[in-house]
Amino acid sequence: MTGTTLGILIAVLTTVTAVVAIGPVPLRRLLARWIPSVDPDYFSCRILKLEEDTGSGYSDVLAIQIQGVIRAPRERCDTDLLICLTDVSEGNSGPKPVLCRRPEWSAEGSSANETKIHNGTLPARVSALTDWVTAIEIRTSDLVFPRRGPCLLECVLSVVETETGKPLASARGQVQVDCESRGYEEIRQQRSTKQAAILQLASCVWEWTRSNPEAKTILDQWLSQQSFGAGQSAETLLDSFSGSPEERVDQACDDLLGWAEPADRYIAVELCLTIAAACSDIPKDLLGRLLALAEKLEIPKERFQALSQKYLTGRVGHMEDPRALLGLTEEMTEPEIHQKLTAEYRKWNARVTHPDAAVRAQADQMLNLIAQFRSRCGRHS
Amino acid sequence: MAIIAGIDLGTTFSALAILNKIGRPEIVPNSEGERITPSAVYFDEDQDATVRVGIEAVNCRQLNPERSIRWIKRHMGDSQWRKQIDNKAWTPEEISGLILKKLKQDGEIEHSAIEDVVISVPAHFDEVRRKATMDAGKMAGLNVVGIVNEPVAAALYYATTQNISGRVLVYDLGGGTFDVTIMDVEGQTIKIICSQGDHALGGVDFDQKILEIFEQTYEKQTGQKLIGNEQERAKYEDEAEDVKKTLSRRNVAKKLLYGSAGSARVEITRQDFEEAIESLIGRTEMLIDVSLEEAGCTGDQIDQVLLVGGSTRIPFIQNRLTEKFGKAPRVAVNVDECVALGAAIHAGLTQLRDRPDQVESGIAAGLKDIKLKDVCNHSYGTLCAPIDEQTGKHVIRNSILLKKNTPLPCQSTQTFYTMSEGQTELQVTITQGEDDDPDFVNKIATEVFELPPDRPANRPIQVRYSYDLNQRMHCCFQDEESGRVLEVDLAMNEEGQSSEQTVQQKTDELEKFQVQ
Repeated sequence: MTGTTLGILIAVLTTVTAVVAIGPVPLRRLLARWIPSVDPDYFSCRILKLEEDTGSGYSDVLAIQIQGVIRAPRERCDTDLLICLTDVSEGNSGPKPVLCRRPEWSAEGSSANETKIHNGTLPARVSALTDWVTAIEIRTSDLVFPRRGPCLLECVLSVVETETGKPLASARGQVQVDCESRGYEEIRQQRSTKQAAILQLASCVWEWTRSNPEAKTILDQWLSQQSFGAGQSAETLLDSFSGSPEERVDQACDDLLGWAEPADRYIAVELCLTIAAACSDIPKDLLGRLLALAEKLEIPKERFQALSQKYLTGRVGHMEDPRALLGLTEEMTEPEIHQKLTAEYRKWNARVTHPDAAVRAQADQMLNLIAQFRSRCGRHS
Repeated sequence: MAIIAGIDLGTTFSALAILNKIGRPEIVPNSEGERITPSAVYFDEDQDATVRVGIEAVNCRQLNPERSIRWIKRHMGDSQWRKQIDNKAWTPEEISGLILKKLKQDGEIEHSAIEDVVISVPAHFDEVRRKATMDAGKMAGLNVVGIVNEPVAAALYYATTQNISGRVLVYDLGGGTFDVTIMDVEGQTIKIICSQGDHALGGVDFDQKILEIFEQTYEKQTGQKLIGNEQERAKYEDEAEDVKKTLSRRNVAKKLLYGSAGSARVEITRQDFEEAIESLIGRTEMLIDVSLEEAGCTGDQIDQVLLVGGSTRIPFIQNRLTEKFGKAPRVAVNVDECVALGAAIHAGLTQLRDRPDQVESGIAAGLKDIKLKDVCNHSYGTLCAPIDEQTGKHVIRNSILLKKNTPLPCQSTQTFYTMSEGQTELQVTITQGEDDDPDFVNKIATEVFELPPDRPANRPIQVRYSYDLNQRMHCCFQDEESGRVLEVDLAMNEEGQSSEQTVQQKTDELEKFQVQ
């Protein structure tokens, strides 16, 4: 229910309850036993779990309701409702904000777990709600909790004077909800783990390039574009790994597989290839190591080959052994090599008429490389 | 009635052929009495408006390489390439236009006006290069009635003048380009199966290998560099070509090299040359493998291998082909002429189809039994944004609608969908190329298609491409709900100016130059 409707309801109910509310104290106390809303100090909030028919199914909705007396400093006082959501599963010692994705919750100057709704003018200095009135309905799918799983959600609802922001009435209600999607703390942790894993892989690749200074520049550029979480830096992220480069690569790949989105694994491999491409001379075993790294990240061989060709083709002249760039492996038989080279030839030959001179040059370089390998490995009809 | 002519606008040589009264093609010699004309241009330094084309241009090249141009075909369609001569920046189309002007001019000495022509292009030439070739023809004052692929032209000549049949592979290794075409020939019916090409592989690359031997030998013997300037480079490029030709006839070629450290003697054996060009020959063999794969056959299933282009005279190439196919390739009387001769036949067939009343009865009778079934030369597609299965994110991809080597005429329709709610514009891009990666395809046209407002996402857009018998492509985008249609005109240039206007402007400019 919207704030305006709430205002109308308040107006109607106020007429009845005001008579009682301004009467003698003993009478009020007596009535308050039977009708809590007429208790001059009573103001309460509760959260109901409802289901909303969306047309294509049902969606869980939380209805935040209020009941009780609102005392204003003057007649016809304009008011707002201030709603704040927190997760109090860990007790009041550690309440954590529960965020809402709806645009009205992202107003400037307020945090994403708070919203302000204009409530309208109170009809009298003392207004009372005898029935539970819905202040706001929120779909649980619009909420972002700190963590996945059961959560004790608390709502603090205050009626405030619009002009001064002074609270006129305030109450809190709680409800147990089950959060099915990842919470922001997990996302934050995931981001940090992902960032650390990518950085670790990039730093291992840099070590494999024999700590090449040009490659370091690329790594530094990437770092300069990153924003780290509170208390984190490139050093702290790197320190979270230990062991030989191979062990650290294993650990980083495991982290990325466990925590990151598939797209992040590609980002990691692309960064590693960019670092490798920056070297003036690309060591013989580097491509093989990068291929193994991509395999650990469960990137299909063909995708890795396409990526490596995109980043490294221009560096063919600086490669000690460009076989992996063509997708050739030690285990391949001569006819398999021949077949692979023909497929590569088909691909690069189609690129050799590209309008971009750089692509043409790249294609030409690859065609010559393919032809060289072909003449080395013998001819087959 | 107008003369029907075909032109082979080659990398190193060009030739003009016409159809005689009974529809047989004949080469028209140039004003020097030669049957082929070097595709070389030289801008005379003493006479501003005089351009030398052909053998004279080749001879002048060593004196002043700065004012000379050879192998211009390799730059055809390259919008960035310019040759600055005096106050004019010449485009590849204009320079090719000068070569064509010379052929037309010389051909008209003994015949009436030569206007309607078909010009041959390598099979792998893309839409841009084909268009550039047609523009060059128009600039020379020709009416280009069609474009034919060089191997198709050669096959037309072979099939109509020599006794060939079955599955045929045309091996066309010219001065600067290499094409392989596989076709089925039955009587005078030619059905093209597929064509593949390598734009940067030809005789000039073999010359380059010999030039490298010159340079290495000289440096080894004298410790000095052989080539110090462009003049010397031009000289040794020509000498390398001579050595290459000598090695096709003899086992060894000898040369005296003169450089800054005096003279040095170089002796190149046929074996040295073969070793030097091994990787290039490897490239030609790979293209054959790709073509065989495309045609779905093996080398054993090829009944005949036909040679086209001057570079096929190299014995090493003929031996390798014999080794690969288990039979000797077939060589025409003159491998330099068969493309022009076939282009003339193609011009006759085109005129017979489009303007039969303009074709003399003798020619019509001579051509009536020839049937050519050609294929689409390239793959054409459009850019779209599907969800990548691996990453789960939208990625820009090239989706192919018309696949290379589809028999002509052909048409293909696919439906794509708008991406966002309220989308009122769609950028449509027409691509040419085999890749699904948009970075590696040629974006031949991009336009904005305006859509109706206030609609949800996922509205269907139908994309229809077709390719006609004249090797021209047509594209149409249709919003299915509103019926709105966008037809993309591939003849517009980047500035949105009709290419006809640009060509006319350049034709007028070329008029001022006298070709000798």
